[in-house]
Amino acid sequence: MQQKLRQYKINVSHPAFEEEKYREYVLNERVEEDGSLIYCLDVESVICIDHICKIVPVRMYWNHLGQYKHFLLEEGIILEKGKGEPFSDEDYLMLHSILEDQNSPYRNVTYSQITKEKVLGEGELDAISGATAVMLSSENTIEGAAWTCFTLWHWANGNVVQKIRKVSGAYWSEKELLEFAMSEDYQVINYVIEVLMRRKNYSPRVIESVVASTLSNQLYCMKMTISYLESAPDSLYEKYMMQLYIQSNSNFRIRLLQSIQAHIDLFRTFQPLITRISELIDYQEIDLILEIFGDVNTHSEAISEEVFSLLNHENNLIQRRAYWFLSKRKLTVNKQSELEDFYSINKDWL
Amino acid sequence: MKRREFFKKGSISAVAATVVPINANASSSSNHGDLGKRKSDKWQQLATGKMGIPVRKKELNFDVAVLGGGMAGICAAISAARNGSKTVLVQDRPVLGGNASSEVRVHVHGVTHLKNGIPERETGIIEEVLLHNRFNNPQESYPVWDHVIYDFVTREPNLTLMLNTQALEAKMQGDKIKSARCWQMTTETEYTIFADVFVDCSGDGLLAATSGALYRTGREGKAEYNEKYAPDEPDGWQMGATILLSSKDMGRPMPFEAPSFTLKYEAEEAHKRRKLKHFSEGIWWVEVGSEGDIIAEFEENRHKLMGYAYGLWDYMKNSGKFPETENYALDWVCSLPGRRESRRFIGDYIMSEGDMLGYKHFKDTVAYGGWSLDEHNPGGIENLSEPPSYFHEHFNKVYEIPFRSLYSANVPNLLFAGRNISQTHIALSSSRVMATCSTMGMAVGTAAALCVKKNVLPRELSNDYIEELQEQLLRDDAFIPNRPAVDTNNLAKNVADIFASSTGSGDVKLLTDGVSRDFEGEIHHWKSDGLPAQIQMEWEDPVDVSKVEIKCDTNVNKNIMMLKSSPSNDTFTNTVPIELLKSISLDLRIEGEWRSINSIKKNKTRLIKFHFDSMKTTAIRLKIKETYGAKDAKLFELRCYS
Repeated sequence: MQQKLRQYKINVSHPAFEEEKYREYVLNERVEEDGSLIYCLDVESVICIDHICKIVPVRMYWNHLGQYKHFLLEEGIILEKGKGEPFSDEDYLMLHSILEDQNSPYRNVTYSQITKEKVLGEGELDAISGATAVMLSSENTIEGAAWTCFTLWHWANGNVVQKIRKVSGAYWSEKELLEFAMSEDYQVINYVIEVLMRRKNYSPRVIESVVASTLSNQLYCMKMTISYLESAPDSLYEKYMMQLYIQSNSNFRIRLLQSIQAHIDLFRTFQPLITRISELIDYQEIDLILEIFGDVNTHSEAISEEVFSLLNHENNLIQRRAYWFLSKRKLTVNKQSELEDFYSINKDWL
Repeated sequence: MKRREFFKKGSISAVAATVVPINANASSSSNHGDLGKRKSDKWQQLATGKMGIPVRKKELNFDVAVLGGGMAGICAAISAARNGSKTVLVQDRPVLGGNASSEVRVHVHGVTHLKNGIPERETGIIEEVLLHNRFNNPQESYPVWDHVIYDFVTREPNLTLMLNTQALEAKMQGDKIKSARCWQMTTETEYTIFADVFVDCSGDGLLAATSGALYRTGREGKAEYNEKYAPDEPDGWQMGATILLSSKDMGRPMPFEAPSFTLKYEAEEAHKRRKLKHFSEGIWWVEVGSEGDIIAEFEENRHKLMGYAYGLWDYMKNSGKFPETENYALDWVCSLPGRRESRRFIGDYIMSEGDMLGYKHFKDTVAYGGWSLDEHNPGGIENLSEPPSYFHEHFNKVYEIPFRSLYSANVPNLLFAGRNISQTHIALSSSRVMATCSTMGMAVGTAAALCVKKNVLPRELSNDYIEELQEQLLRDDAFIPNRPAVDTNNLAKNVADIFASSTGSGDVKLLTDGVSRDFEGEIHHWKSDGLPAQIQMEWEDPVDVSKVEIKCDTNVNKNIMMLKSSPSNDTFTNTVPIELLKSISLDLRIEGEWRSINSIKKNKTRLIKFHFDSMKTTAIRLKIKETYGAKDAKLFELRCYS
């Protein structure tokens, strides 16, 4: 049996609201038998300004991540399609699958496309209320019920999602959040990071856990993790950014380097960047690292030594980049001579 | 014999111009009467004590002469001037804009929406004009719009504007137009305008007609072009002109007494589609068509239209059926009816219904459309029981307009754009909307300049240089459907590497694929993930660069023209598009060092140009800082030239 925990008044927007941007609703928070949180909201099946369509109350449910779970109708209440035809069982199943699909075409369909104010004559707008002329394939909609699908999809996946995440985030203990962070689901990891940022929680064990989770979910979690670390104390930012850099793959190292460049004053050492540079193959990454070295303006011989090896890189663009970087540095006599030789051979394309 | 039958010749009704000349005993090839000579002028000048005869004759020389300053003519003149031709734009009204001006106030429609409800908006010069209006006329005033256009035209180098001037007659040399005889009424001056190429965008096409250019009027029969929406037999019907009016809520009862010229509106006979819901913005179906000489009948029809417009208003105010109008009063009534149809000149190709509905692909496509086949009923408001427009069919996608429909078949240095192009009546019912006409205007203006540059005539341009014309149009941000740009001079196509600081969607490599908008479900953009963002391009060997040109996003799936109702929703905006790039800078890398070339802080166009003294470089870098509201920047194209 569900135990009612709490109610929250929330201000929610919906693309079908015409007169006001937000309306107030009551969000109910309940604990399921397995301890998970569930949220529910009573909404209208359609938001109808000209009172042509039949409106029924629908109760919608989400989990603590704001992911839609299912909807319920009160006993005796049914949904209808155009011309009063009731939903069939297949229609209800179809509606549920549309609402579950975060990438449904309804994401990009707009309210006026649904209500279809069409320009008929030269300057005359002729509203066709209730009719829907949106072109969606039969796999993505229910014929005659596009308005209902649109309204409920934006309830399921719209503004209320962030409200739920904010409310639910206050509920968990740190221990529970760290357990969540071990999930393989990137959406759960990002949720945890979001909560930790809101709480400004940067304890070492928490950060370690976030970094570990991110490294196994780089594609979807890196951006959120960088934001989290950028809001952390400087010393922690420095330490963990370099740690991430060493362990990340190429696509994400560029993101990390961009953050490092923007916070360059926080770094006391760039050793991890120096030691790896000769192994890199991506021009953009090398270009970014050399920009960082240039910004730092250090005369480190170690840097020069590593960059010199790039003069033999298979990628000419990288060779050229390395040349111009070295041409502005103080080099040993031998290295200077070596650089000048390189120039004489390659000056036409440098 | 009825006048329309006089023009019918066999199954193909092409008519050589036999226009009744302005003076009774003249032909189109001789100087019949001299408007500028003032031999009998007895001018006593009190200021100087002299008697004198004013000089009222002038000759002017240009490369390209554009007659008609509506939206098509404006785009033609601007594009000709920008492509290097010394150009004149001759307009017979005190304001520019034609039907779009404050004098008529028709909305600048184009592909305002396809069948799916989504616009496929025109770019190029017409977009520039509309953006200029969004920046400089946020109050959406029509009289101010006139001056926005005036500013747009008069600021253009290489372009001379002549208002209150009408081209009356073509003077010929062989079969080519040598000059246009024009009358500027405000200065009582006769101008003879010489040019290499003439572009008639005047709608009625008087210059073209007097040059002997073939044209036709009326409706083709079904059989001629196999048009399902054409009448069974050809006839003389032409869509009519309209008088618009607007009213406003005065906050108190405003009684109305109809003036003497009012014609009663017979509401009981009216078709149910004659809607009056948006009365405050004007009723577009107050229209009088003609099956005869619609030009000769213009003044008579104008008077009738005034009567019908006021008759309709009288009906709404005084019938008792529209209590909501009680506090409304007229605040503007058009005095110059907005015309829809008269002459259609004959080119090397006559575009027809089948070309549009069949979405025919032409090798010489230079413009496009997508407004519905919006054929108004014959007779207009004098045929009340019929729907005001048949709206025969909407288009699923855009259709193409070929260059061969935009030049005369028999006057070799004459081009045209707008409602007078080479097409059937049914085709006109769609292509006549002004943004579509503007795409034609940009095409013919560019073509005219190319003709001058290459010393060729339009047909030769069509036969031998059509790709060059298309490439120039694409570079200038015209959209040509199904025709990607393949400009071999574009150095950006030969880069060794291109990358961006972030990518939210699309791919930075698509910026050189030759398509400058997402189209028919295919993406052709790069979008950043947040701002600021950077794009960098690297060449294997150093290149000389003097031009970097970018096409950014303005959301072509949203209309930006001024509408009286000023809507703001997913398909219309009444502000500067938030997607438009505001702040961007360009660096070049020279000998390993980045050098700042230029920075634009308040960009106002989709096509952004950096032109500078040529420099040898191995890389360029664009730093995109800000848009007009969107959180990400989206680009469609990047070009570099030496």
